[in-house]
Amino acid sequence: MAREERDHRSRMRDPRQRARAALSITPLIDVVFQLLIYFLLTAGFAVNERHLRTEHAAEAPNAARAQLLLEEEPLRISVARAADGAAISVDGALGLARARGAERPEDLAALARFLDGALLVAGERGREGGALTADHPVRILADGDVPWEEVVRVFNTVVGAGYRSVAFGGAR
Amino acid sequence: MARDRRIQRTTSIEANLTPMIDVTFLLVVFFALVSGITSRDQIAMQLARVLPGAAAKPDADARWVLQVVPAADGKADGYALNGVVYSADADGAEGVARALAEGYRANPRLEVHLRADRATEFRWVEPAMRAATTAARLAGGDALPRLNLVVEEARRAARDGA
Repeated sequence: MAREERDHRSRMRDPRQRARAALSITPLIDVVFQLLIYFLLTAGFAVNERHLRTEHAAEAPNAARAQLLLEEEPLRISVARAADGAAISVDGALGLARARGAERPEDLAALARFLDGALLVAGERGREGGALTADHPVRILADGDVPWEEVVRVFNTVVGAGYRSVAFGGAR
Repeated sequence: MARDRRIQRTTSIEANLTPMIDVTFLLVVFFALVSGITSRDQIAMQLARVLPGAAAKPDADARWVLQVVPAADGKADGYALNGVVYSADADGAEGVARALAEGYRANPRLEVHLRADRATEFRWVEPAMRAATTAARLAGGDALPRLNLVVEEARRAARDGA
């Protein structure tokens, strides 16, 4: 028994007699590289895609709801094409919205501040001047030649300020 | 001398990877085909970028993607819906509305995702939006015009640089 053990050890030390255990991993690496390249190429397709929910009060199928919305004068945000993007003007329920003496917004940043100040948030201190509820209808009226991105930015600003009833008017 | 006469026994241990490679290749081919179909459906365009906040990740609900096919100078070449391209005029918009109405009848909770290029003028996008609401009205019943605007959320670096 001891002799057999000795012989075995002797064989293992001798490179010529060592048992060859070969594991070919080349095909595995090939496939892994293929997968890596595939995922690298396809990963870029659906990067930061998000969606913005909209509501179409203007052509809502429910007539009773449309009538309800007409009872409140909507805040109208007009968007016109300008050299540096879009020119914004606000009217409609402006008197209500300007309860805090805010200036008429002419760009997106000012619009965000204006909408934020005009929003009535019950039970929150420092927001007493806000007169528009989150459900107050807001209508975005864009000129036909305004790039889609500018319209979406205005919509995103309004929704981001907390208004829930935002509709688009027809292209002018 | 006795050692030289001894029979040399070699043992070869190999893992048979062929079936695994076969399956992996099948998976690669499958994903390549599936992604090809998806990208053919999805028209290449630059989506409108918005600041992070109001936009949400698309969920897995039933949805149809309505795309405004972009053309040069902010114009549109048509409206693509479920592989069919409708013309960018009143007839095309009407066709889109009819097709969407069928979808609303089949599933009143259907969501329509509107994809449009950021440079496309509003006059070309607005008929597609109107078609979705018209479709809900045509479908009747409980169908509501669930329209989502597909946008690209600006990355933090881009936002800070803006």
